[in-house]
Amino acid sequence: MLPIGGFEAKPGTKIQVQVLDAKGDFITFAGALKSYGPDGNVTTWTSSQLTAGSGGTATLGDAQGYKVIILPILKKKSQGEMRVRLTASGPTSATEDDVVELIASTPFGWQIIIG
Amino acid sequence: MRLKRFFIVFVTMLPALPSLAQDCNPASLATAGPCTIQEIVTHFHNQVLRDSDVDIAEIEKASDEAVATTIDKAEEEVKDANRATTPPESFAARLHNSYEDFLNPLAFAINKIEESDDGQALTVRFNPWRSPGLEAGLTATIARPTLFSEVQKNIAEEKRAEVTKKVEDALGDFEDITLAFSYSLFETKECTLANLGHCRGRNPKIYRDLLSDVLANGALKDVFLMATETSADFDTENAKLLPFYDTRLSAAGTRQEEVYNLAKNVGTLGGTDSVTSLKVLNDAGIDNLATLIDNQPQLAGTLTYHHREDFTGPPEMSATLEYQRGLHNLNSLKGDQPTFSSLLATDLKKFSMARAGKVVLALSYKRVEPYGLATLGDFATDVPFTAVDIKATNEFKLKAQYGWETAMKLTGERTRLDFSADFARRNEGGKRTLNRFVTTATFTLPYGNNMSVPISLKYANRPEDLQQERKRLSVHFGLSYRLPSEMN
Repeated sequence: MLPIGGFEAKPGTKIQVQVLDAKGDFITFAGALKSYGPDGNVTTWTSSQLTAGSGGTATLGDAQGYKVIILPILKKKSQGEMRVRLTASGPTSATEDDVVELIASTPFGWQIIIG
Repeated sequence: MRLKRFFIVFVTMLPALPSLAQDCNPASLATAGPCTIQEIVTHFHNQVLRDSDVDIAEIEKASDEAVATTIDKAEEEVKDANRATTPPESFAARLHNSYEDFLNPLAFAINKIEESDDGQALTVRFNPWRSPGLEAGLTATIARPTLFSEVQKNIAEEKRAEVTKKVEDALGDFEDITLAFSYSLFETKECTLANLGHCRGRNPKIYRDLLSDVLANGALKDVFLMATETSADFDTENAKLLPFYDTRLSAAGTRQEEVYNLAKNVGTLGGTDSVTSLKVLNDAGIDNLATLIDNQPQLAGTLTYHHREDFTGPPEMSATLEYQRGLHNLNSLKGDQPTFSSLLATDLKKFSMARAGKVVLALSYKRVEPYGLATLGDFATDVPFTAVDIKATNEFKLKAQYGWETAMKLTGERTRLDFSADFARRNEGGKRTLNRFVTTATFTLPYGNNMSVPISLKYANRPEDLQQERKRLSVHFGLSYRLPSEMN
């Protein structure tokens, strides 16, 4: 995965993931929130959820950490660019705005450490 | 007092002095100071992808080579500064630079401006226009005007080159322009399970949400989750790097080497995980999604107008309408969830692009206006010149193609049957000069996975259209071998 940043957050933090723009030869894309550590929960989001105004949402538990990942599916040997935003609210507030340039269908995303 | 005033003035001037800007080069610690940590991580992530055998966009290879040679290029530019070594600007570059100020206010409408590889043409692509059921695009290509070949031929040979150059030097920039308007009709706005089976159009956005649902919630969810796995080492190392992502390496002060090595390690570990992801997607046949979309039925057309002036040739206009449909496409998999989802997942792994048949129906019309040039005037005083008089030409073409895999198998593979028919009719000055009909039937016998023997039967209403055959009917035996690289 191509990491694009992240932050430390407290349990109970609400997160919102949005794909604001996708330029290039995208077939489709989807997102997931994955926890690591003893709790192995997964939440997935479709492209329509990620591009909606409300974005893909979830609430962080008390796992060791989480990864918010977007998997783009590009046409073979093509490139694309995505503008994405991760917003955290509640016990922890944070905003990450990123423009990701893609050269293949490789996942990218943020890491959140629970502390 | 004077000294103090000088000192204040001097200090105030310091920020105005041009700073020695350094480019970011993440490849080594010595040159990575101006880079953000994100740039360093991305560089090493993409380097792992490049060094592996996965397919990535070609442009990334070109851009990374440019980064690696930035310093060398800067040195060369300094050396050349006092020498007139710059080659003359091409037609396309000159035009682009001359009219850049004029084009800037139109930036909202322009998608891209491209110079051709040979520098002889500039293409302006306007933003596509989309509305329910219709997608249209417009391009304008401005080519370097040249003297019409039929005029050149009629100039006395000994003076031809000289007169041609004289005329071409006097031509304006806009004497050879082609406008092309392309459109696809009756596109479905959004393909859903409800209307699948009747979806039309090849714009991936039509199918994006339908396919995303299969990925996130349907039969491809396991593939999706496997492709988004990361190693424990990556998680641990990346966690240490989180505070640094948006800062420049130079801001790390005495910890620069430590932070650089950590970023390099995170990029490399992430790249290794990404290579695994791409292999998971490849094994699941995800690349075939693009082919299934490309095989969707589409009705598309193009209208072109080629504007030329007195010395560059006659104006031309053409119109084409084409219906295309791959025999195996997303519509073929219609069904309610989970049926569509399961069918898609199974199909992607079994689907072979090489075997996909297509139906193509194409209709085209082209008109070339009459053209006449009696004299070259002052460009060719006392030079023998034969007047040019060309009648208007109208050409009409119709093409149909259909092919499919038969039920008959040979060496475990299916045989194929393909039919094609081409009809062309041309009138010049009201007189018919071409009336051609060629039809071909090809039966392809497979021999294993990468070899096949096509047997063609061809009929033409004019023997000369059968490539040196003297009869109207010909039979051709061939051998086709697919290289291992084409199998992937």
